[in-house]
Amino acid sequence: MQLPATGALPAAVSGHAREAQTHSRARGAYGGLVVFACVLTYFVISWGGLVRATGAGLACPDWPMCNGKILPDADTLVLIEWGHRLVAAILGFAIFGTSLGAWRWFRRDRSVLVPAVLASVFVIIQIILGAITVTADLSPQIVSAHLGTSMLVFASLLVTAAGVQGWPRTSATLSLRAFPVIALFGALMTYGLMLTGSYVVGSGAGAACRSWPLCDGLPGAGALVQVHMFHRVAVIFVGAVVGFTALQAWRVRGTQPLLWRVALAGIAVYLAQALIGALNVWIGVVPLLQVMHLAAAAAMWATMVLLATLGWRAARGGVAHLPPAAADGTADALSRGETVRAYVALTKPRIIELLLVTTVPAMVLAEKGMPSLWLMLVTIIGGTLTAGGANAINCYLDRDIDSLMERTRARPLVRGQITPGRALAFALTLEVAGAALLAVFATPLASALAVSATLFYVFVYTLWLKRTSVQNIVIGGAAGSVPPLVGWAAVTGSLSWSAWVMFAIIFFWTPAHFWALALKYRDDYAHAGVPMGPVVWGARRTYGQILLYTVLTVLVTFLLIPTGAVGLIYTVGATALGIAFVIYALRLRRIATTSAAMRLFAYSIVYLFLLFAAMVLDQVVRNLSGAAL
Amino acid sequence: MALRDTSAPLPEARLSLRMLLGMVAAALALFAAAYVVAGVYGQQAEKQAGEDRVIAAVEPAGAADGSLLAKSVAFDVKALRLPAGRPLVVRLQNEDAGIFHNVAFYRDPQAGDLVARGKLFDGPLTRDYRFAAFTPGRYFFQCDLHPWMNGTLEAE
Repeated sequence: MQLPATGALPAAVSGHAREAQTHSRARGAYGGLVVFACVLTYFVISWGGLVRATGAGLACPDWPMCNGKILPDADTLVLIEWGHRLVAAILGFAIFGTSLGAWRWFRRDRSVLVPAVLASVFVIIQIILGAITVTADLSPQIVSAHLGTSMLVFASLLVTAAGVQGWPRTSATLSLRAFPVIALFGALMTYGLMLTGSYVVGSGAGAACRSWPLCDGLPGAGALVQVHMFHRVAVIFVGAVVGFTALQAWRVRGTQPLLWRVALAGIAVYLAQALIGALNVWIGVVPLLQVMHLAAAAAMWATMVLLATLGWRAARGGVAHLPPAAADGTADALSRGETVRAYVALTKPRIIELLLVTTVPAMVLAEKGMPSLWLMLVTIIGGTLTAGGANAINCYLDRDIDSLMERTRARPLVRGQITPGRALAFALTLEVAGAALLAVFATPLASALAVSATLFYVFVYTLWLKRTSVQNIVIGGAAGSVPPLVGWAAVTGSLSWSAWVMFAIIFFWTPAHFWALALKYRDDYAHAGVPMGPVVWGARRTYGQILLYTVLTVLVTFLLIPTGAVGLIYTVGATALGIAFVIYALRLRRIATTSAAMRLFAYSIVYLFLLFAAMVLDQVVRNLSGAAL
Repeated sequence: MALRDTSAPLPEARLSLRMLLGMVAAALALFAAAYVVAGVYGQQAEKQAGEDRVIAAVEPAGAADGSLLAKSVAFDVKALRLPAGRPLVVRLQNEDAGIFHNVAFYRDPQAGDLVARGKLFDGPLTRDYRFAAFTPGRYFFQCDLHPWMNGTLEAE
């Protein structure tokens, strides 16, 4: 929303406009909170599946403490269970906030207020059930009730979100009067199906059928075979209802595109879910499949709840009085591709690339060979998510100064492609997902390091030093230096000198690298009031500082040699690359032009990439020659 | 901007209680039908039990030759040592409420070559299996529903 120049308006009017803007900003952030609560709920439900699949539920036999302590021992099962409780506790606050916000901003809109308040009610029931779940030694009925209530929390939040966001955002009234009823019936059936599924897991009937789609039952396990097949037959019935719902959505796809898209997602999830269920039988009940089966079930439930909600809202024509999308700011005018690109841009993918380049070599050195493909994949994805989350939080916090700078003016938040509330929700979601991925499938230490890097980046760099200190990039660079530590910890679960040397290499490299860029955008930073080196010191002294850090970087790269982690190839490579790096820095000091600075900047990226590539090559060659001997 | 002013009251398209009850009834009817159909498979599995060396789980009487405790979906021991050449009574103490367990003996750790399978029952309950005599040697046991509940048997 652009305000007219206030000077031209009577004071009362401009005051009112400002108040309205503050109000609408708060509501925008609230919209973000609700969406965030939805995503986090989905995540907590899936994590709950992990707790159950790994049998971690009884790792904390008491409640609300864990083994009598607030902080549990670093035993993995305990960590899985405790993490579930911790994130659920955070979620609890987000949901109470959702209810309070609905009371504050949507008191007159029952389509928001009622589900938002219900969400809190279900959360309270859930807390009580959670306590009983553990203290009652996990009887299948209680576990099913716990899952069933979590799904109700999820549904309440989804309905709230639909109301707050004004979905399905179309002025056309749904022409199929029966659609909402069919969709609601589909949601009801899906809910029942989830409960039967939960009972299959709880009673142990998962292994009672040894084939798919028909059942080669375990002899003598009649009762369990019946429970198992009950679920499968119900799947067919639910499939029929879901398919019929999707068919109806297809019929109105012209006027209700969102309805059709959600229905399509529902069909896709249904098919994927059937496959996962089959794999559960073919491969055997393994935790990963169990978690996927539950996550897909929750997704299925979400699509059906959304279909019913959107159907009811569209049938009421309740959105017809809303202003058309185009008049509502640029956010809605984007195509799907543009929206995806905007979200990706929010994570600053170029910076992430650089982080990942340093992670994998650290893993190779830690493993003294090639780590498993699975671990590398998990660490890379986890690292990307946490780093992307940190960058997106940075975009959110820095959107004021980003709008003042030429270089960053095209960022999605500055251009209004994404609302700040959504950006924050997106950022936090990435962060939580990445941290969980690392904690569960890599090591807890790797996850803790990645999260602490984000916290450091957000609180120390973005919020504090960036705007106040000329040493901002030096100290803040510590956050960007953490990826090798994450990689190392993902493999070994601990840290070593070699890992810290790699950390130090990036730490000293960052200022030289970044100041070269800042030289070019010096006026930009000055305009935004950010005390980057070139702004405070002027160009000449910056050249000296760059040279200093370049030399320090090169010296630190040699520290890796006495740790014994690397050999000849690295030594030769680091020396050659280092000499070139110093030459670039000397040359910048001599010619003192922006183009020389940009050449140094470009080389600094190549330098880091090749240096870490040399570590990998060194290790691989030593392994190969070792094998040959 | 993500938000629109939705605070104005919307024209209602109401969901009546009768409609909702009708839906619940229809859903329950469908699930009941599914349960009945599933029962056919359950009966098949029971019938097969007679041909597939399934040992009944009986009320405990007297002392057992060996015993296993199933708690929190885990067995208390990883190894059993029992006499060979005479019928054995193995006691299973299932302390997991509502969760089914059994004990089945195999010649291979992959649980492919079945010797005898105890019938499944849910806890909390203690039952005895009366197995026929084992020839001396090494066997493997597991709960068929939770294969990570396993161990070895030395029959001597």
